[in-house]
Amino acid sequence: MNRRRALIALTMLLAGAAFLSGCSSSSSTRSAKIFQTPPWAGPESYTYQLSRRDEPDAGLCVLETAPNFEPGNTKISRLCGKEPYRDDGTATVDAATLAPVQTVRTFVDGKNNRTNVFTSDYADGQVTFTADLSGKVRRATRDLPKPTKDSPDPGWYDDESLLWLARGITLRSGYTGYYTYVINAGQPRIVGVEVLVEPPEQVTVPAGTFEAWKVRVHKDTSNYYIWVERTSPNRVIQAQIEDITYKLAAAN
Amino acid sequence: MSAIIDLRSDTVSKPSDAMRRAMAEAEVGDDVFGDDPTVNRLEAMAAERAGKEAAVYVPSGTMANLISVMTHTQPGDEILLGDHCHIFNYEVAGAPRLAGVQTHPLPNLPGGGLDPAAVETAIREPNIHTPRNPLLCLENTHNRCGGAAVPLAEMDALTALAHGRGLAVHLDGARIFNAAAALGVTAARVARDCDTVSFCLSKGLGCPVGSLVCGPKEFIALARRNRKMLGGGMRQAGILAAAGIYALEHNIDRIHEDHENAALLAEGLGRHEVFHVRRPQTNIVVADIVRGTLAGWLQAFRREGVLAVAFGPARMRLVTHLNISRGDIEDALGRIARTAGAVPA
Repeated sequence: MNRRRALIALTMLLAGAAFLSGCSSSSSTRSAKIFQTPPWAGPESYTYQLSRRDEPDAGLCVLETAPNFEPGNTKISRLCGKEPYRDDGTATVDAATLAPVQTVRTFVDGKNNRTNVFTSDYADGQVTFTADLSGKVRRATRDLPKPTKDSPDPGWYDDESLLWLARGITLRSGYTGYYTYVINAGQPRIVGVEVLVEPPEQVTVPAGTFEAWKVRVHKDTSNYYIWVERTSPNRVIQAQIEDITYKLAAAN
Repeated sequence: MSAIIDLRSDTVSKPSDAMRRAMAEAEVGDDVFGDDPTVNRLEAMAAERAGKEAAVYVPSGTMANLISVMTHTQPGDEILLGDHCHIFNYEVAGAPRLAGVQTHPLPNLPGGGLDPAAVETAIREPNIHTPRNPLLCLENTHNRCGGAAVPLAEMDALTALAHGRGLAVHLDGARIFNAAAALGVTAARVARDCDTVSFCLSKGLGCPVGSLVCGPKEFIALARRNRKMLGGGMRQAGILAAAGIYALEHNIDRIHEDHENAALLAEGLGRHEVFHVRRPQTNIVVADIVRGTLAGWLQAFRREGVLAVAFGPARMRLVTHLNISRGDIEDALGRIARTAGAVPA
């Protein structure tokens, strides 16, 4: 049972849709490019403790940033796991805009020798979702938002970049932005979300006490919260995403 | 005679005046043509609530599950499901008869889940002799397991296992909003890793009729065809869908009150040594009869104006819902106390 629970803890957004999906109803149809500028000046690596309501120790997660790892692109990595289970996500994004190029999410169940890989490829106004479920491959393609009167320059960001996106938006109390959120885990979807910056709070985590902006991401009928350090380099201090809590443990 | 306190099911709840007004004022069209704006809005809201891409409105929970099974499978397939689940016990064997699938029941754990090892063992290796296993069905909350809210960790483990072996997962979430309230998460989180989910509007949400099937848009397109084949295509259904919209907007946040009332009811019943009562997790109270007969107790309750249903040879079920207040529970306990001293034959 403990193994099973550990598996769950490490699969924060785990996966496995036998059917792949895409665009849908959304919290908002408005969409814009809300990422302003990267707050990271060089390579980064931060470690987080994970917990959930019924599981105080749900493992560790390392967030790594490799700016310009190839010309014009940055590589971001979310490496979460407690052996023999891994839930790792990596994304290649535009170094300046965070626009996604490709994301790969790999879930490994080392105990049962199973690997599920979810890939999102962005090109020509479309995203192609591929799920490789222990060798069984399914694909689906969806259109990304096109310019409209309300959203003349729509912006979309991959689920894997959420903890980086929050660091690069306009961090000012009362800021509200809208973008299109692309998810390729569980069941792939494209959904409009609203982002709000609430007043700063003092947040205490294992790495210390920080003054942090509280960024609220409203998706469907729920909210994610990301506390972003008030000062440069605007690290994520804490995050509450679905039932998982991230707390900054150390800056490596 | 005091007013009847009807605890047989949350399906006995009646639409409120405000819900009836919404129904009367609904804008309608022909939904089979996709022209009913109120149905379309309900389906969009349902998909959003369930965290899925699309949804289709159907007349009942039984049809929702049948359509889901039918859409996930081919005749001759075998589906895995719990031996206490609603699909296996209370849907008139529609899955084998109408979807043409073989049902393979696995022992439900007391908390409503399934043992992953049992699921693993049950999945057949493909060969010329065996049926395909394209689908695992889960239920949350789990009715026959006393309204148990299956923990997310168990749900996640089962969906991961199923997907890793190439099975899709359908969640019978007839009472998914009760599960979400009990687990402290959204319904979308409960259903997150399930490929499809169905939920009922006519239970804790207080609608007169209706369920939704939610999932990927390709799946829902096929489900819509299967709905039509089963006679579930409705025309000016916006009148009914308006009740669903009202319920999604007004009747979800209050569900915890039903859980609190169920806890109060269980506590009060448990004070009588003739009943053995398990602490409810949601809005379903299950009481085992220690002395006397079930029929006798149900009759005695009825004489006092308290309605419950049989839930096994010596077990009764009582369900709280939005037409039952805390005062009603206190009143019901008072009436039950008058009969509990005497053991019915």
